[in-house]
Amino acid sequence: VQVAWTRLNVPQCGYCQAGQIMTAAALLASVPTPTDADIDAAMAGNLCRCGTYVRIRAAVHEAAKLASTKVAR
Amino acid sequence: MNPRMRAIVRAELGLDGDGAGLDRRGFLQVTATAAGGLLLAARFPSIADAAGAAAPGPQLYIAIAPDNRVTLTIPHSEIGQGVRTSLAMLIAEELDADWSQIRVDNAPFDRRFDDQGAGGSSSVWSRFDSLRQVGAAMRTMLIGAAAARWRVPAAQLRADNGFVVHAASRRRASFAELFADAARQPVPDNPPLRPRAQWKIIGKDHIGKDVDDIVHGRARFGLDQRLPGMLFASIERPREFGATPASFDRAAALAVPGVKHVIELAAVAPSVDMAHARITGGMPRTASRWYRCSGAPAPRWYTRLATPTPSSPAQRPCIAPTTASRSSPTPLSSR
Repeated sequence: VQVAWTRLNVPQCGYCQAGQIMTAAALLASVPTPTDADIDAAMAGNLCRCGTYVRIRAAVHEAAKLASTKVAR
Repeated sequence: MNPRMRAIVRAELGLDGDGAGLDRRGFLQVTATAAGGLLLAARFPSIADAAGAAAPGPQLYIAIAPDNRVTLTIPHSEIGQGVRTSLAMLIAEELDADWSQIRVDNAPFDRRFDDQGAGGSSSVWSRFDSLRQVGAAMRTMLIGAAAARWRVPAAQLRADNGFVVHAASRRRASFAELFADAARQPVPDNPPLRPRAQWKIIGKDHIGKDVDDIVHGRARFGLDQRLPGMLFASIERPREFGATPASFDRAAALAVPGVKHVIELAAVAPSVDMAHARITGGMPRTASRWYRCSGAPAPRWYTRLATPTPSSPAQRPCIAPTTASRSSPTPLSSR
């Protein structure tokens, strides 16, 4: 998740990002390949005043992809 | 940049009128650092003058460590607008530093920096020329130092990714190696800025300089500040736009575990700063059992929150809780 977050340049001010990352990690632990709807539902409790939601969603997909690639290896 | 803005930044740099150069008012100074590197301090005259003669001093620092890492210390506040990355790009572009070797720190809050606030999307445009001038001046001095060392014309040298290179003789020296000599070079008047077509860093995507710290939990925010005896305060406001607090129950608020003080704020007349906040006095936040609002239409939330379910937010204590910290009581610093 951290690699995906860095790769997609997700944070702006960063204030909320620790919580975003933890929520994303929890989501991915139970749903390894979440849909947009899964992500939106799981992440709904974490607010980001900078408005990084679009990159957050992309980064969750990226993290899912990274994790599945790692398992495949 | 339009001519008016150009005039402003030129004035800031002391470049106006009689051909005054960058060095005219001690614009750049170089000193050794305790860590064995060197430090270049840039001073923008208009800021120093605005801050008053009692508080002159540099507003921006560039340190080059012996391992060629470059640390920029900028006075601007980073609030997610990316100023720690964008302003570094301006300097790095002209300095021809290795972007991966650049770190950015924020200067502490100090009067000598004048206004350290962020707003109006002004940081990049107001510094667009002056920070590139700083980078270009430093690059010119580094090249001058290499030219003197190698006894070749400066025109045969170029800066490249943290090094000065003499292609003809295949010599190269890192910025760190040259920095001490560069400090003795004259500060150039109006060092040439790179034409837009040659920009390598500006206008390109970069991973933010803060991102690694943020995603690894190392970033620090105002909320992380801890001082001995520190208390935590929150201003409680009505949720309804235009609502005015009518009353609150001090005793009930003080009964909440950890609450030390409940302070009623005096009504603040709307000013330029407060126009948006519309603070009208009082501090209640929600329609809890501690307060009622007046001035707002009878809202649905009131009836909803006035009969809270066990899990509803209205059950939470919400009158200006000023809770004790873990350490001993000492007044907050006035800063």
